[in-house]
Amino acid sequence: MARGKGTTLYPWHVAFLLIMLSLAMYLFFSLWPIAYSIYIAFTDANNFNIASEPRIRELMSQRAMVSSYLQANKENILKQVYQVDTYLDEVSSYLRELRKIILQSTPQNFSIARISELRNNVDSRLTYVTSIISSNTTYLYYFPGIGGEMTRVITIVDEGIWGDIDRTLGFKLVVTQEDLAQLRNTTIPKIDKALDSIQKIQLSLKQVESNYQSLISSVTRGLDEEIDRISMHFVGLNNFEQLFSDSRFPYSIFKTLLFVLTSVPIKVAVGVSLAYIFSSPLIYGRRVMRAALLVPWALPVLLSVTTWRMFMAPNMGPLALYLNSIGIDLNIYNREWDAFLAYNIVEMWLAYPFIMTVTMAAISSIPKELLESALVDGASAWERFKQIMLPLTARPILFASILTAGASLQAFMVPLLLNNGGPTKELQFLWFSRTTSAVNEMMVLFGYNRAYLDQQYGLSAAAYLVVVLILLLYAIAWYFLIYKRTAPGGV
Amino acid sequence: MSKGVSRNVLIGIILVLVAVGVIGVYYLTLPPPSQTPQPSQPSQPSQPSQPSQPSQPSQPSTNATQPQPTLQTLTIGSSKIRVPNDFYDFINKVKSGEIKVTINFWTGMSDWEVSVMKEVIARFQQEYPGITIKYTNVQNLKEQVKAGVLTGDVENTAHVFTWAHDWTGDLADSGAIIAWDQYLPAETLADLKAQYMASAYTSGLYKLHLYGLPWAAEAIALVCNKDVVQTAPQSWSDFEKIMQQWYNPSKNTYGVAYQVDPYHVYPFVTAFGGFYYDDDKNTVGVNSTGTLNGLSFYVTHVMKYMYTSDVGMETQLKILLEGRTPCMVTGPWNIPTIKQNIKNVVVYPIPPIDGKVPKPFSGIKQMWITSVVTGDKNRLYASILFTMWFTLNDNSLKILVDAGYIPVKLSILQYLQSNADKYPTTLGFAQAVSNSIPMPKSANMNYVWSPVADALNAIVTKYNEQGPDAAVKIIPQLLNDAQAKILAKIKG
Repeated sequence: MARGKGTTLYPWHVAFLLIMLSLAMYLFFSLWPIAYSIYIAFTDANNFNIASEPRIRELMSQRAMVSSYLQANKENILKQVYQVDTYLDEVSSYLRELRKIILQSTPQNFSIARISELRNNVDSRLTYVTSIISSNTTYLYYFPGIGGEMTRVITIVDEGIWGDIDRTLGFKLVVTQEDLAQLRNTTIPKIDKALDSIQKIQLSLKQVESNYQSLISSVTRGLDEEIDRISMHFVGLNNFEQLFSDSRFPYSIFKTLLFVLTSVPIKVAVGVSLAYIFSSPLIYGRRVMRAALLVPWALPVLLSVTTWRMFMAPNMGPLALYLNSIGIDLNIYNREWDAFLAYNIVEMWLAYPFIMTVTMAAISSIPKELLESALVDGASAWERFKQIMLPLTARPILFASILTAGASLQAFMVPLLLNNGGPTKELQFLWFSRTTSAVNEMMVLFGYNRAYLDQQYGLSAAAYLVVVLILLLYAIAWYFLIYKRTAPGGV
Repeated sequence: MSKGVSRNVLIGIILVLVAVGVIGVYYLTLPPPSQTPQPSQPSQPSQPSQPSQPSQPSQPSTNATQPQPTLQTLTIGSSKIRVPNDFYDFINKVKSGEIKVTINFWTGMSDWEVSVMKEVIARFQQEYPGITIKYTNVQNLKEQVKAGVLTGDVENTAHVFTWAHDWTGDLADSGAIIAWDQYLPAETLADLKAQYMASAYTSGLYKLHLYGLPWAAEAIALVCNKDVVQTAPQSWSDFEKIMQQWYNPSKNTYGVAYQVDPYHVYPFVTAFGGFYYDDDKNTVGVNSTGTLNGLSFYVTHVMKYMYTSDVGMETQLKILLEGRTPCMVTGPWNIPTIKQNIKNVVVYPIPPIDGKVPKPFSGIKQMWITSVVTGDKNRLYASILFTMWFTLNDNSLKILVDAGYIPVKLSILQYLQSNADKYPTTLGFAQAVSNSIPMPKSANMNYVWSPVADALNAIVTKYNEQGPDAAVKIIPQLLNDAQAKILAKIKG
């Protein structure tokens, strides 16, 4: 398809288009999410400010037009202020009547019908007042001493006064002397409190009438504060400071590193020895057994770890019961190091098939001739193992160990499912301040709990950033210590 | 440059332009609200979210007790609600099938609840053939709803959904749910309020806006095997005697089954005048004297008779089901399981401690409408109608009561009272609800749960290691820690 000179197999413009495309894809799918999650680590993201755009948009649009609106509709708004005032007067008089009835009635002349009439009146007036105050036509909610005080009135009246009356009278038709005495004790102070709050609101309403400009300024301020409250903020290094302000996260890092140090040797030792045992031709039916040993690998982790938990549950699980009967008390819920031991056992159980498979592949790649000639030369079984098999399988085992150490460093499912990183204790680690914390909360689990229990996404992202740094250090260390040294030519 | 080259370049440029165009059109059509903050219409501040007449709230001023000419009376079950004219017309039209509209209803429930919901929805559709309810039971309800509202995907997001009222602050702050008072006049709200238990209606309010309607409540109480504990213990010392008789760890029997977490130990906190968080005053009371005394009493008078090696729900429930304890402090959600294993279940209030009444937390199940429906009036009205019907229709509410839900509508509570022998457990929980404290609605409550849970877990650990005295001794320190952590988080 050559068309002229300069035409090659891949013309430059095709390459150019492809590069642009792949760059765009890379930006969109890779850099953007990475940058975003790093950014979150420097914010105060939490459950209510991370997805609040719809509400912020709504408030912003109100904010944009509110002062001119309030200026233009002064008459109308003041009329509604006056209206609220009259409603509150009515509410006060109804409440005073209720107070009188409770104080002065006897069981004979106590009228439940009158009480429910009063209740309906108070409730409807309060609903009207609430509607006007919270409405976007008056914005009275944001005036100091109106919104908050009104919320208090509603709570006192509904949960306090009506709650008391419902509790004491229920659906009774006859009232006793004790009922009345109880109402006098509990309800009268609440009515007084409500009346007091209503008076405060009315005072604030007077202020609106006398100084209308202050309404405008407090509404704009109120809206600004509201927008600010539900917006995500950049907080710099605050999250990192918070992570290292007490012992919890440092201890979590320490525990994770300790877990790597203990679990990796166990996993590798078990995996490698099983591989050697089951590659010996002396064992009958080893293929079937080899297949059976791979089961832990095939099972979903969620299922197998949950099973392990039930198996080891103190006083309930069969393993714990058996250990108990021979005098060993294993309690993974209450003892720090019992739980830690359990993590090691379960992690070993989950990971040995991987080590075993890698080692077996390495063993089967050892040339038969080498072993046979050694045998002819009179080397013992131990010498053959030490001099030939071990050196020839060392590198694959080493790489398997590196990979499985990475898995231990990111331990998550095992602690989460066994006891959620428990038990919880008071904790003081190195020079960090004392705190209450789960003592087996591995790094990744720590981040997860901060996001899903505390819903502090910013803090969680910061913790994960630290985890990524640790993993990066780990990778670099292996690269320089092992890969560079063992690879021929140091590449 | 050759002809082929320039043609390919041309194609490339066109492709890029088309892509930019598509993205541009997408962004321009996506969020209509983002275009609203134009200063050209200063006279309508209500416009972003209040299509209804702005003068409406002030209308009832003249004579609130008489129905306005624009209002019609809607009857659902035994309730009469004044509603606006156009909403009333809409109802008649969906009743006759003249208007057809589909709404999505989401829940995050367990299996037995899902079948009850389906039954209730079927009844609604019979009554209003014009409305089709697409019912989905989802995992991660809150995240899914919030994500749906953010993307603005009207078809595939919940229009109506339900959960306990403590989500209200969070959902309202993120703009996921709509305030009813922006679409309905104050008369409607006043009539609605008169239908429910006062505290249940109030639990739907947040910053004075009404966000949802209540349909059920839950609170914990003392659930016992009636064959063992025949009458309600009148005081804590009565109950302690029963616990003492049963407590025998060597035989694996225990005085009481009790899940230890901030929610379940709250009755003891309130009995001694303590609290975790006060919505009104915005104060944290985790290290208040009341909380301290309550938890100390809990350790020495409850934990002492418990199986404390595992204080999670599953294990504690298992102890009750296997008959190794007479009672468990738990809520209505566990009743179906318990009834399968224990023939004669009874619900008693948690007995008073020297005259001090333990008040548990209560959760009120609310129905909310998401803000995606605001663009479509039919959907909005259908959602409002479904929510009202669901929370008010006596026949369907009776189905829910039969299934074990604790009602909050007054007429149904009356019905429950007059059929006391038919609903012993439900009535027991209803009493617990009337004696409870609604969970705080503030989004700040998110910061309270986990430090308090940590403190409780540390108390349990200490108890297991060194016994009750040591556990009581560290409580003040642990609570101070928790208090400091919560305050730090709230300050941000």
